[in-house]
Amino acid sequence: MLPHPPDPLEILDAGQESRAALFSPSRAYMTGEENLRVTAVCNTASVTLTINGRQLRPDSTPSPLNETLKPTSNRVVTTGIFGLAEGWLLGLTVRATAGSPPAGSTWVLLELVRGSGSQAQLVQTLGYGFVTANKPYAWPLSANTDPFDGAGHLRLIVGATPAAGAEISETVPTGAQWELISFEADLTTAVAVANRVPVFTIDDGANIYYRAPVNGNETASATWRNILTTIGSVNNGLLQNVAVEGAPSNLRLPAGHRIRTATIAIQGADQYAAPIYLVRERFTLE
Amino acid sequence: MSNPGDLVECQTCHGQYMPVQPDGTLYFHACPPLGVGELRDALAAKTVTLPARDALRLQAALSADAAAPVPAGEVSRADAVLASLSVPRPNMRDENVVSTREKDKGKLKAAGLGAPLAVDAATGAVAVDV
Repeated sequence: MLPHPPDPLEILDAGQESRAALFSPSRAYMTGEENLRVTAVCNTASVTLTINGRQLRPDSTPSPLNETLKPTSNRVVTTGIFGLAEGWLLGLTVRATAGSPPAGSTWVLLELVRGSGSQAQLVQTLGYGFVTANKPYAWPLSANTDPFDGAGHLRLIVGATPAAGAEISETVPTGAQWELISFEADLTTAVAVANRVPVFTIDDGANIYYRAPVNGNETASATWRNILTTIGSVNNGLLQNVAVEGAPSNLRLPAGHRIRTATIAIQGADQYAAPIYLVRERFTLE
Repeated sequence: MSNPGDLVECQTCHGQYMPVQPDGTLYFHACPPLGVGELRDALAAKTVTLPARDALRLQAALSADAAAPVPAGEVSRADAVLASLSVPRPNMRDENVVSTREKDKGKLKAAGLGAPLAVDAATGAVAVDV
C-alpha cells in the first residue's frame, strides 16, 4: 500500500495560494448579509461586555469591530445583534469591561445570523464560553465550554432570616444548578422548654427526597449551629453546640429545588439566623 | 435595585434578606412553606386544606395522641406529621423569573403581597409601605 501523499495545504507557505487558487485569511467570509449575535447569561450585577473584533474587507482594508452588551444579572438571556461588513471575519474577543464577574458567572455564545430581532435566522455558531474581566473568550482561539460544565461559580450565599418560629427555605434560582458543598443554619432557642430537633430536608419544591436530622436534642436558651455538608461527616451528634450532618455527595440541585429545615418541636420565639451556604453554581439556560 | 448588602423584608413571610449579595450576585427570595405552628393554626382556621392522604395521616396521629398522649416534652404524633409536610404559604412570594427566555425578563413567579420593604441597617426598623 502506497503512503498517503502529504496534504498540500500543510506544505503551503503562509499566504501562498492553494491549488484552487484561493487565499482565505479566515474561515468565515461575510457576504454583508450576516450579523453577529452575542447571547450572554450572567448572575452578577452591573456587568458590561465589550466585543472587539477585526474584519478584512474585500479590498484588503482592515475594519475594527467594537460593541457592548449589558447582560441582566438574573440569568435571563440577553441578546445583542451587531452588523458585519462584507469581508472576512478575522477574530472576535469578548470580555467584561465593567463590573467584576467572578469566574463561571458570565457565559457568552457567538453566532452568525441573518436578519435581526427574534426572527433572526441562525447561520453558524462560532463558539461559546465563560468570560471575566481578565479572561476573555476569543474566537477562533478559545475552547468552547458549555454553561453547565466546568468548575462552576463558587458562591457563598447569605440566605433569608425567617420570622421567629419559622423555618429556613432556600430555593435554587431559575436558570441555575447548585452543587451543594456546605450549609449552616444556626438556631437560637427561646426559653420555652422543649427538645428541638432540626431536620435538613431537600425537595423538588414539593416532594421531599432527602432528610438529615440532627443527632441530638437542642434545648432551650442556647444557640445551636447546624451544618449540612457533603464532606463526609454523618450524624455524629452534638459537640460544643455544633451538629454536622451529611448530604449526598456530588448533589446537583436543579432550579426550583429547595434546601430547608423542618424543626421538630420548634417554638414560636425560636429564631433561625440567615443560613450561610457554599455552592458551585452552573447555568442551565432553562 | 438595592445596593450590595442592603436588607429588605418580605411582606408575606417577614423573612429578611439581601436582594444583592455582598459579592454583587442577586438573591431571589421564595417564601418558605408553612412551619408546624403556622400549619396547625391555618388548619384550625380552615385557611389551608391538606390533600386527602395527608389529612388521613394527621387524623390518625391526632387519634393516637388522644388515646395515648406522649410524655411531656416530647413531640406529639400530630406535630411529627405536620413537620413532615410541605404546604405552600398562602400568598407566597417567589422572586425567581418564570424562565431564562428574554421575553420573561422581569416576570416573577409569584408577587405575593407585594415588593419587599427596606430594613434600616442601623435600627432594624422596616420601612412603611406607601
